Amino acid sequence: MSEQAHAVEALAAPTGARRARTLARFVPWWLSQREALIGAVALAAAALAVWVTARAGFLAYPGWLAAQKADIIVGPVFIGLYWLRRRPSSRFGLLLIVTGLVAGAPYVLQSSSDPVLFATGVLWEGAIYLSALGLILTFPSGRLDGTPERVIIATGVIVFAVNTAIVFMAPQLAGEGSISDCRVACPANGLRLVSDPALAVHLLRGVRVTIVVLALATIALIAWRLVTGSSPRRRALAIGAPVALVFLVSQAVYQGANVLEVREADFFPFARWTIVGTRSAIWYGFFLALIAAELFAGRVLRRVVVESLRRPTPRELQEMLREPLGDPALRLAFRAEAAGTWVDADGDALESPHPASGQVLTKVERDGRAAAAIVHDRQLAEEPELLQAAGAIALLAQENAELDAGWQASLRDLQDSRSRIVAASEVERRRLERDLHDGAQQRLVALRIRLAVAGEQTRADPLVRTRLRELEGDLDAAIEELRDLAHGIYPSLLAERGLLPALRTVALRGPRAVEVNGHRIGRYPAEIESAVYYCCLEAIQNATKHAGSAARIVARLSAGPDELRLEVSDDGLGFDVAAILGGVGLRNMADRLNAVHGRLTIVSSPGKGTTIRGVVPLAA
Amino acid sequence: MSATGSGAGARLRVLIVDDQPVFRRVARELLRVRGYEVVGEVDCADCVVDAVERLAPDAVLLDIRLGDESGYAVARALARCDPAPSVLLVSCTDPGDADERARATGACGFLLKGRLAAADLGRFWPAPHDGA
Repeated sequence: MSEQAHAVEALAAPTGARRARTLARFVPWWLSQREALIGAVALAAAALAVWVTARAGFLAYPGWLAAQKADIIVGPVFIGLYWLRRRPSSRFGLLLIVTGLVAGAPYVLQSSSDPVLFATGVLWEGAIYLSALGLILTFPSGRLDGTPERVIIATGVIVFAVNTAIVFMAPQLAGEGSISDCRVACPANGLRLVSDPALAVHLLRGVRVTIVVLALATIALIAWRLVTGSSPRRRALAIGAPVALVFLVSQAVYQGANVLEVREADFFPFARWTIVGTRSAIWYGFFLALIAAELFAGRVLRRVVVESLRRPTPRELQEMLREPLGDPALRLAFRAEAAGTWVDADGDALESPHPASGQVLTKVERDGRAAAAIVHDRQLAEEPELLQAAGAIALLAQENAELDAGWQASLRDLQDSRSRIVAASEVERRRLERDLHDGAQQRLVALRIRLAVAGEQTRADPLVRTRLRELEGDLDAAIEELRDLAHGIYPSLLAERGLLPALRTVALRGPRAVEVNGHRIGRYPAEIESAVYYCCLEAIQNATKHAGSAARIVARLSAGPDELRLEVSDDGLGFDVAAILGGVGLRNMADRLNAVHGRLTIVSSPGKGTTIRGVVPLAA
Repeated sequence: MSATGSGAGARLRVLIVDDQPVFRRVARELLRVRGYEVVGEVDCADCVVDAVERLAPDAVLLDIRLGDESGYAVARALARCDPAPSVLLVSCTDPGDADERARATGACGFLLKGRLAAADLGRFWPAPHDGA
């Protein structure tokens, strides 16, 4: 990605950026330029530290020390880079990187045999402790949130300053018998400005006392946070704090023992090695806490996603998120599309959290626009991955619900529209039949009567009479055709008497004998009777046409409390349903039934007859 | 309009009930030719019983479809009149069950309007010129 980004830049500024582009080719796609640079610097510094330390003849444990010096640079830097990636808005990542590069890298100076460099290295070791303290106090947010933290750090800075002063006046700097111990004798103190051993001893004593106080204060602070913090904070401290606590305790005990001039021989090395060991491990504890937070967010996500398949309401969703996030006062809010304002889970307008309430509003973005918001405890901001997971779920669940409702509404609209069309078509048919009846049919009938009367009254010759009778015949035919047409358009018998009488008439009038059976068939809404009637009609006509002359055709109607059933079956020729399925007639039947929420089934195979079944639900 | 009742030589008095003016005109002409006396025309279902009480016809020519109203209901009402006229039901179309319904309502029969001229009305009504 960085390669592509730089390719674009190169096109824009051809000359200057070309060199950057060339270098960028060596950076793998999953690192940014900055990350690669910082990582490379750290690795280089670590390599240097290992090389110098391993060759330092005066050191007692060159191998261990080399490893530790490399680790003190590389550990915080790479953990810091990872932290920056995962929680870009947190300053903690930056603090870790600074610890590694600024406090850790110069530690290599202590492996030099040059007195000045050696002394500078010893002096700078204090910075490592100061950084460690800073990291412990600001974990996990990267900020000094309260006065106690600021006081402790300020005191720590003073201790560092005093320690520096001690270096300036100590006659000799010795390793304290742990990892940085010298084999025979350490290099001389090149920074000694004044030689005042007594003052140095007094200052050292004061420093030790202050360190004990600071350590105890920090332990108390961590304990208090553990007790009063929200779930996310307690989770983070539970994993990140133990190593730091061991470090602090061992510091307090060691410095305290020195002040009290305790003389136990084997106790001191144990304490020193513990301090040295834990001070390198502190950031790994923090790293594990970050991993644990991500894993926890993942678990929460998984659980809540599964539960959100049940289509929770915004209220239920809010409840669902409160427990895993450990925030019983958590609130969800969504943007109301129409008005553009924020609406909470109960549908009311969102009230922004009061600054003093300890709650904060975080927005969840989608396509660059804020689509949802979470009002949560301030401490939850320390776990942005959890918030993001919760926000994403809330957004998805809500969108799902909206889509669902929208789809249902569309479906209802569609069905309503269909019903309206069917109803309108019914009205239209009735009107047409009425017009035919009141208009053309009446006139023809009247004409017929008049013709008959005229024929009776005329004294014309037989030829004219014959002609008149022919006219009467033609007119009768026209009247009958018009009658059939009107009946086909809308059978008034259906409206007046219902399904069975209408179908029985059809059966009687048709060219073939058709049996019509009905069981408890009453009256139903006009569109249902119409749909069932025409469906049966079409089915009977199909059977008459295609079942063969030997077939017996039976139409059966039955009604239950919730549905009306029709069945037209014949034992005739049958047909291949798959082949005819798209046929207009069959589709017509299916459409008619579908329009009144009914279903059509066709069962047929060549040689085995045909059964057409329809079911129409009756409204409660 | 003569209000005479039965009597030898009196013509059978018929009331025409249909909402179509075209048919009423033609029916009047046909009945006159056949020898009946048309005493009145009614075009709405509600006015029939009144007209029958006022005019006392011997027979009624009744369309089974009077606008939105049912002629069968009118026929039932007429059957309750005293004296009840002979009701002949007619229609442009044949609903298929007209015969049985005609009998059910107390009418004397059903005819398609198209067959009116060819039919022998005497089958349903007393012949014209007969006493009641």
